[in-house]
This record gives sequence, structure tokens and C-alpha cells, in this order.
Amino acid sequence: MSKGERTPHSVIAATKEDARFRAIEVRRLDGHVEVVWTRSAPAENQTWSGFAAECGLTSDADRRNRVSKRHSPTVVGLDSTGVAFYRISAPTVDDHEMAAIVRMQAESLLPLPPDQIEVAWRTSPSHNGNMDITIAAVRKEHVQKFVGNVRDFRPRHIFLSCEGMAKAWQEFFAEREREAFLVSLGEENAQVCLVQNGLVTRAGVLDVGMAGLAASGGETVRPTETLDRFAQDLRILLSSLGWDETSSRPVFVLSDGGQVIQGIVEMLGAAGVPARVSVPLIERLKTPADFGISEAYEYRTSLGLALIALEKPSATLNLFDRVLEEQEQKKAASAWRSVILAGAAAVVMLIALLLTAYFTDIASARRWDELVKQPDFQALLQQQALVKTVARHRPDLLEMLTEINAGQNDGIVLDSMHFKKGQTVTLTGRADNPEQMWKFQANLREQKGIKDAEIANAARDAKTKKIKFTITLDYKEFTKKGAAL
Amino acid sequence: MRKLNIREKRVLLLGAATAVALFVFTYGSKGYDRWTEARATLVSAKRKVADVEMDRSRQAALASVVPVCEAPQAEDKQKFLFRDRLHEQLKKAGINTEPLQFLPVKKPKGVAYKVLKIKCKGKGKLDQVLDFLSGLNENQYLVGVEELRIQCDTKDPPEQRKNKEVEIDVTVSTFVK
Repeated sequence: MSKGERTPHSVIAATKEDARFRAIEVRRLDGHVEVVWTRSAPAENQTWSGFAAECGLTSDADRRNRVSKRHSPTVVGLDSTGVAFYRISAPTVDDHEMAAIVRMQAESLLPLPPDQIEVAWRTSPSHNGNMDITIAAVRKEHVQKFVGNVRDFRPRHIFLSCEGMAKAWQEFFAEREREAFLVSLGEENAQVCLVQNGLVTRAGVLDVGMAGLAASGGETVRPTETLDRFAQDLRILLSSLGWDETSSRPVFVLSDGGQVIQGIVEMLGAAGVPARVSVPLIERLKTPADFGISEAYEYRTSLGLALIALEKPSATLNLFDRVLEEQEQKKAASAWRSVILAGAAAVVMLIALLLTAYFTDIASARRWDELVKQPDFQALLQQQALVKTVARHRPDLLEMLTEINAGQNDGIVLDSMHFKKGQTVTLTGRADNPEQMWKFQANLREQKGIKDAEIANAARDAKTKKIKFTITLDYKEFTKKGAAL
Repeated sequence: MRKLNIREKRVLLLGAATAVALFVFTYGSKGYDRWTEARATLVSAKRKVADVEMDRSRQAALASVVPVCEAPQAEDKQKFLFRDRLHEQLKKAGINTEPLQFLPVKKPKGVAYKVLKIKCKGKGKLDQVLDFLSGLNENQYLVGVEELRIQCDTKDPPEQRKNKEVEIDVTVSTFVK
């Protein structure tokens, strides 16, 4: 358990044993353990992912978009059949040195190179100042494959199934001892382990299970060759785990309370392996109505795994942390790689964009420059400039005369008109009376091209009695100073 | 081949980044200058083309003021071309003129060409003068009328002026190279 990780109040535990997937949700409430729900499915034509979906942990849509639903944390059990257990003894030293000793010992014990094996170990106090060390080892490839298979469960922990079984026995079965050998009869095999203080210290598997034993005996077990061989194998296995006839450690066979296991136990006793049955004590659990002793027995491993997760998962033999950590690191590295890749792609795109813009501009500039440097274009440009210059310096004198003559100018007779660029236009003329002259001036002022029409001089002619006047005016921009060429 | 460790990879990465930076700083500035120059050329060329491609109403307005225009020639050539064309127009309008007089050539400010002016004194009826003025734009060498004086004989009463001649003094200009 990582630092700061909170102990959950409810846990979903899943296992795959005896050709069946089993899952159970367990909740700890007011000191009681409550079974919330259970689910099982045959392993045939079923995968961990499919079972996760069946348990409501991921839907098909979730699998596509990887959006997780909110549910209790999950733990998964690894079938212990592929796990090898070793027991070594070492002097009491600090953890760091102990790790080195274990590593060294494990390398000498294990049949494969260290980089192909995942190892977990646990110490327990022994006599004479030494420490007993339980080492669990499994092929790394197997662990990685398993982690990959159960990823849809998004397990918070992966424990060894035998540890779940031991925990369940310790918590919910009758006939508990501080140290004992446990025999858990599966469909196809039998798991045997030495449990000391609730923890598995040694374990082994026999490849004879209930299918073989029950077939040989039916409802009631009778001595058969298979049973004899089973008793003999069990005896050998127990001996390798440290059992003998004089051992103070009893042998318990976990049972659903049925006659078959009871019969097997009796046969074992007759064969020289004194064993007792241990039956689940259902009253220690808060369970749904349809959850009885046989269900507690069936879900014993899942139940035990859930309890480990609810209590102290750090005490278990953890073969998965390193693999999970590696996967997390790979994920993080992959995320970083994605970011770096995206950044690099963006930079490349930016460079490509800049280069495209650069070369486009260079090519366009060359093309346009060539166009404007063509003689025809230059001639056109010059002609255009010439026409504009001419237009700027060409007054429309007909228009000016039309504007001077515009309006009702009764009685007005013009004698002369003088236009010179850069000077005001001068009109001289005669009117019968001042009103006519003023009217003429007013008409001039109304014209668009004429500005500042002023009477410069006006006097009555003594002979003709007419008003002789001189009017000055500006015409557009042409009479302004500097307009002359 | 041995795989590179992280330190070697970093050194390699840093070296590559430095090489890229050197390349960028060495050739990047030249490239940038070239780019800036190209963009300036592009803008200038586009502006020139836009100047030529003026809208139709503006083109029509310009054509009404300057229907014909020929590029200026050298002074020795232009002055006679202009004079002959002007004389032709005066003659066509029926205006009797005194000999046309060239004024000294000047180079005004803000104009790309030199300016040659011709002064002309003549007589004609007002209608003829107006005809002459209306046809002046057809002179492909003309820049503009620099001066125009129209003078009636004040001795004649107004009602008798209609068919009388008026005196005109006109100075017109042309561009010469």
C-alpha cells in the first residue's frame, strides 16, 4: 500500500479458481464484515474483461472510451499454482541487508535468471536470533500477462490466492490455530499451505482435486487407489513443508460442511495423515439471505482477499507492485513521449508552415516583380502616371464658363474674363443696378467649382448710368498659389 | 552496438540542439532578411498593380478629362508636334491668330517632365472660341490651358455683340522630355 493510501471501507475481490470466475463485494461496517454481493461465472468462453463487465466494473462503452464508473476498489487474486514458495533462514539484519541476502539466496534457488522472475519475500521471527524468510517466486512473464488480463478490473492490489484462503480461514472458519497446515480442495487440484500467525509461510499444490476424489467415491467416499495416492502425495508434500506425525501443527481441510470432504478427511486419517475439517462460521458475517455455509466456502478465497485489502495489504507477499510500478512508469513515459511527439510534430508543422510561407513569398515576390518590370507594364504605369499628372493640371475651362454663366443673370453683360493658373479669375462686366450685380455674385457662389466670388470693384458709369464691376473668384484648385506649371 | 546511456543521450541531444541553434542563427537572419525584402517587394509590386487597376468610374472620369495623351518627346520634336496640332485646332475652330509664340521651357517642382508653353493671340466669335476650348482635349500633346483671356469690345452695345468677334489670349502647355 502506498503512503497516504486510505484503507477502503468496501472492496470488490475477484478470483479465477476451479474453472470459475468469482467476485464478491465486502464492506466493513461498525466492526462487522458484510457481504454485499457475489457473482460467479464459468471460466470457459469468458475472460477477465468480460467478467469485469458482468460485475458492472466496466461496460462495453467504458471499455471503448476508458471512462471508469465509480465503484469500490478492487483486488484480484492470482492462482497460486504457478507460484513457487521457498523457505530460508537468515541472521537478523536490517531491511536493506536482508533484501540483499534474499536476492542472493533467491538467485541460487531459482531455476531462471533473476530478470525473468518476480520475487516477493516476508520475514517471520525464528529461533536463535535468526529470521525465517518466505520467498514467493513467479515467472515475470506470467505476472505481466496476468496484470494485462485483469486491467479492466483496475485492481488496487493483486494478491496470491493462497493468502486470501489463509486469511479467510483465520477469520471465518472453525478450528483455528496459530500455526496449521491448510488443505483447500479445489476442483482439479489441492492447495496446501503452512499458515503461521495468519500468514502463509510455505505452500504447495497437488494436482488431484475434488473432481478426481469425488468421482472415485461419489457422495460417500470409499477407499480407492486415487484417494490412497492423494493421501500419499499429501503426506509427502506436508513433510516437505515441515510436517511429521509428531508435529504440533494440525492439518485442516477446509470444508463446506458436506459429507464428501468429511469422508476424504476420514480416509486421510486412516492413511496416516490426521486431519480435521474446518467449516465456515457464517454467523461471523453479515450476509444476504441466500448466502450460506456452502457460499462462504465457495467464495473463501475472494472473501479472504477482500479482508486483506480491508486490513493491512502491506503484510502480503506482493509480487505485483514492481510490475504495476513498471507499467505506471511505462504509462508515464508513454504520456511524456506523446507530449514530446506532439510538441515535435507541432514544431515540424510550424517549421513547415514557415518554410511554405517563406518560399511562397519569395516565389510570389519574384513573379510579381517580374510582372511589374515587364516593359509593357512599365509603359502602362508611365502612361497612367502621365495621364494622372495631366488630369491634375488640366482645368476644364468650358465647365468654368458654364458655371459663370449659370443661373438667372438678367441685366449682366460681361466684358472680359481672365483665367491664369495660380491667380484668381477676374470677370469684368456691367449691370443695370447693384441688385443684378449682387444676384450675379450670389449665383457664382452657388457653383460647385467656384469659390470666394468677391466684388473687387463696382462703380456707376456716368455716361451709361450702368454699374461697372470687377469680380474675382477662385476656380477649383487651379487658382491657388503654385498651381501654375 | 552498445546502447547509449541517458547522459550520453543528453549530450547528444544538447549537441544537436546547439548545432541547430548555430545553423538557425547563422542562416536564419539571412533568410529572415531575404524574406522581409521579398515581402516588401511583393507589397510594392501589388501596390503598383493596384494603381493601374483603378475602378471603372475613376477610369471614366479620367478619360473624360484626358481622352488622349501621348508620351512626351524630346523638346525639339515635341514643340513642333504640339504647335502644329494646336494650330490645326485653332484653324479648325476658325480662330484667326497671330503667330504662335513659344515661351521658355521650365522645370516645375513635383513634375517629372519639363514644361513648354505656347502663347497665342487671336480673334474669333465666342462660339468659335467655345468650339476651340471644347476640342482642346483632343490635343494629345496638351497638358492644360495655363492662361485664358477673353475680351469683348466694350464699345459695342451688348445686343450687338452676338456676332462680333472677341479677342482671346491663350497660353497652353505641354510636357517635354
